[in-house]
Amino acid sequence: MNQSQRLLRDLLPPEGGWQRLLERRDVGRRRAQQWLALVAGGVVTALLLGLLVPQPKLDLRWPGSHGAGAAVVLLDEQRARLLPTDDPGVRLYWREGAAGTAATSPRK
Amino acid sequence: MNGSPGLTGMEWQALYRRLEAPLYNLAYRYLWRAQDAEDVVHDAFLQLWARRGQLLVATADRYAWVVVLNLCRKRRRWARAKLFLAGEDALDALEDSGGSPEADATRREQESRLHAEIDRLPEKLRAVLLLSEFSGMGYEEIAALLSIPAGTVASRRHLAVQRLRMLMEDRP
Repeated sequence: MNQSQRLLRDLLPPEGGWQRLLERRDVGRRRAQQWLALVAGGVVTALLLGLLVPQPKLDLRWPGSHGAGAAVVLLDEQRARLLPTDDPGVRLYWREGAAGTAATSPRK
Repeated sequence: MNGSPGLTGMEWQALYRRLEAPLYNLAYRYLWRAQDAEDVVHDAFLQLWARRGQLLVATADRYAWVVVLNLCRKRRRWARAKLFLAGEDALDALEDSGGSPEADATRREQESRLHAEIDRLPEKLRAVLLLSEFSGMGYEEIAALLSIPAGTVASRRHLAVQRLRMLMEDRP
């Protein structure tokens, strides 16, 4: 545009703009690196926790089933009474309170 | 200059040195705050830096102008929303030039009026006016930048200047 046709005068940008631009660029870069390190650290921690912490084993056997060492032991002076079932693979117990020592389940 | 994509650090710096002042002037006439204008120019150059691998040196200028224009429009919309909500007077943001108090007062008065009149222009006229004032581009280049015919650029500029002069003369 021809200078004589111009309506608006030119303003000078604030001093030190280039330095501030570089600072902003570097701050952004550092922040990105920090985030990356944080995320990587989180992933490594999760993996290590998964590997090092022993997982609890779930024993889904019912007390008193045929598994090794299975026995129904009831505390607080309770007893377990075996109930009759049609299915030989299923055992039902009735837990009842009773005076005396802890009860041990009957076994087949 | 070459045709392969990629902007080196030196080219990025050279581009900044060349476009800092004109981009700042355009941004300032959109936002009327020195800090906001500089922020917008820096945001645009950070975008350029982030995409330097895909940019062509030959078209980086144009890209910078488009990004600054879009960022200004966005900020302007936000500023207007904030003004509406807070009732703040943006005209107070005009800065002192460091001249005599009388000269400063006159300049502030003129700038305030100009600010108000430029703000009153429709966006399509304002964009053409400010690009033609500060970019150093001809009508053809501005037309390519805004995706409108060159004749439309010429007529919009004419209309903008006419309206601005008329509005300025109407005011006491």
